[in-house]
Amino acid sequence: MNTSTIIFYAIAALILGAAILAVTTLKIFRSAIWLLFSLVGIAALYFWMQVEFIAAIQIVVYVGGIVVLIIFSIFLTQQSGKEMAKPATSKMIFSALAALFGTGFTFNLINHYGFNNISAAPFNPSVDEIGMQMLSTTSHGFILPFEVVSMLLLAAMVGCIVIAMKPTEATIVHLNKKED
Amino acid sequence: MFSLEGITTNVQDWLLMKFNPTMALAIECVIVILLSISLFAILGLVLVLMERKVAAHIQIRLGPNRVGPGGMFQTVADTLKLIMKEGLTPDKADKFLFNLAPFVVMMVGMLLLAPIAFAKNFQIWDINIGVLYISSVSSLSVIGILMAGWASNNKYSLLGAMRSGAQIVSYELSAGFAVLTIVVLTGSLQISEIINAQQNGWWIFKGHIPAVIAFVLYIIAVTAETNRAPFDLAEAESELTAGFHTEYSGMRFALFFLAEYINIFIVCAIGATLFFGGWMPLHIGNWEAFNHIMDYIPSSVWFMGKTFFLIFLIMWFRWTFPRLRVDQLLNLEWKYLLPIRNMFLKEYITDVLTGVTSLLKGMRKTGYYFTHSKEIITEQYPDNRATLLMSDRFKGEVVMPHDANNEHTCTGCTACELACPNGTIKVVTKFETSPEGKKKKAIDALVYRLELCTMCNLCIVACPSDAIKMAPNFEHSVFDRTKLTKVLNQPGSKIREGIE
Repeated sequence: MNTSTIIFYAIAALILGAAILAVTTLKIFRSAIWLLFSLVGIAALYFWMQVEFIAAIQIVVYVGGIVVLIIFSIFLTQQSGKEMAKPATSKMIFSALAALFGTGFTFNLINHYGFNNISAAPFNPSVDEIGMQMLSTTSHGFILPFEVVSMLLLAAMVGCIVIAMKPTEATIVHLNKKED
Repeated sequence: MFSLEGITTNVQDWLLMKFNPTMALAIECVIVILLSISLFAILGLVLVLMERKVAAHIQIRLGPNRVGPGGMFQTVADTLKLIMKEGLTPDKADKFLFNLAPFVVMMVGMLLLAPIAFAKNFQIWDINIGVLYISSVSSLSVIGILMAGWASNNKYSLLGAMRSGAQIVSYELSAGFAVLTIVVLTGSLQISEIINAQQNGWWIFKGHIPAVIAFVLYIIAVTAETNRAPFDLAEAESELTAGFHTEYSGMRFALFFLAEYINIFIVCAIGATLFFGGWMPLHIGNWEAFNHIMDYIPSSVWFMGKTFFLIFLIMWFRWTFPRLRVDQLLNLEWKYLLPIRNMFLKEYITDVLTGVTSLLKGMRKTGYYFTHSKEIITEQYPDNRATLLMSDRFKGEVVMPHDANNEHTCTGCTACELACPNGTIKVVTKFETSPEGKKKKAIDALVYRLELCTMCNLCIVACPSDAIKMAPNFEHSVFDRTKLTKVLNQPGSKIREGIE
């Protein structure tokens, strides 16, 4: 067992331990913090694999963005200081079964895949290469999904603005007329 | 010539010679950790002292000047005090997260140290996504602040944390755009390549107007991201006591305090790297001779000089501008730094120009005071007791002047006692028999109770014979409050002849 393997198992233990704590803790805010540690652990795993760009994006998107969003929504909605009620036993049994089944399914798939050792470096993780691939129109380019995702994001943003927009006087009058 | 590069290669060669590569790597890790911790400690001491000195000079004072020569060891003394203080934990706080939060904030600072190039080839980790790594890891610091604010179980802390979160998340955008400008100009995210691209001139000169705008944007955004005045809403002491670290005391408070200064150092180091070429000496195009002379100054000196210049700039901001309101803060970010909403270009440009000129005017004023230290009006109290001049209008206590023969001019008429609104003065009179056998009223004691006196001056006005007056003494502290009750006429004194 060399150093690299030891580090891998340490990171994996961090991810799994934090993830288990995230679902078992009874305080909602602590749950968010454990989720954060789990996601940071995944970023560490990416650093271990030397795909730094993905690791940085993992931190920016999940840790800096999504977890902060989750924490804010906990602050604004939940009574975050109180402990939540323990879930019912039947719920716990079924979720444990679902988790077991999911693990078994995934393990089955991975076990049958049979990973082959590849001598050559499988991909080039440099940033400019990623950028080129993202906007390339050749056979392995990602231009179409990239554009589709950006359309989706645009739609989501327009939706947010519509929800957040204050109704102007004209629209209020219009709505009142409709009600009459 | 002195070079840090030589030291690192020597250390590495020696370690590789003595140990196997894994062991050498582990030892190098330990060395790096020790170095960065000591750097943090020294930076904390130096920057806090620098902040206090800069603040004092801008406000025409001296600042700390007692501990050590010129107050040099003031921060060391402060640190010792903080170490010895008790670290309190509030009763209903989430103890685990409460104790974890300061360390999260510090860890983020330590992680950010990794890609910074301190000198030529003196860098912990020249990661190929350097700038992206910095902006991603710095987004973690908000977590520590939110954690501290929530775990304290205190509404001020929570409000401070929420404000801080909103602020950091929104200003990260502008900082990101400013950094992107340089990334686009260089064509790389790697710190070493960004520095090498500035071989023939720093980006702030070479990049023309876009680089200058990006620099201004960057400085404003990072001031907001480090939660410093004028963007220190997160710990606005007049509204939120101390914001997210209200409940922290002792060393855990010190960690937050230290983290603030470490973050300032890091953002300034990155600003210096991006816009002023990091350790790169001042090179101008093809002036070979000039460039060669500049190369003689060690690269670490260049780096530290630029970084401390930017730190000074941020401190200058802090002591010039008043704090923004929350709505002004968000308007500034979304309407001016990211001009998304404002489509009226002419209006936008005039707004920005008037804003920038007024800011520069303020900075010119404070900068003038900083450079003109002769105008400092700090009194060297108590060293200057002998020469201390109090202004005439200052009133500290009521006294009764006596002349050389131990005579005063008080007739015991009790006008002062009647004039006093709260019974501060009590005149005790007695009857003296003159040599001619006439009985005459005179004072036995004029009792003056300093703890009641409001310095209203009514007794002085009421006195018909000018027997009492106001003195400018202000050193009244005593251990026993009965000592505040004074008898103003001296023992054995008598009224001057001819005063009726």
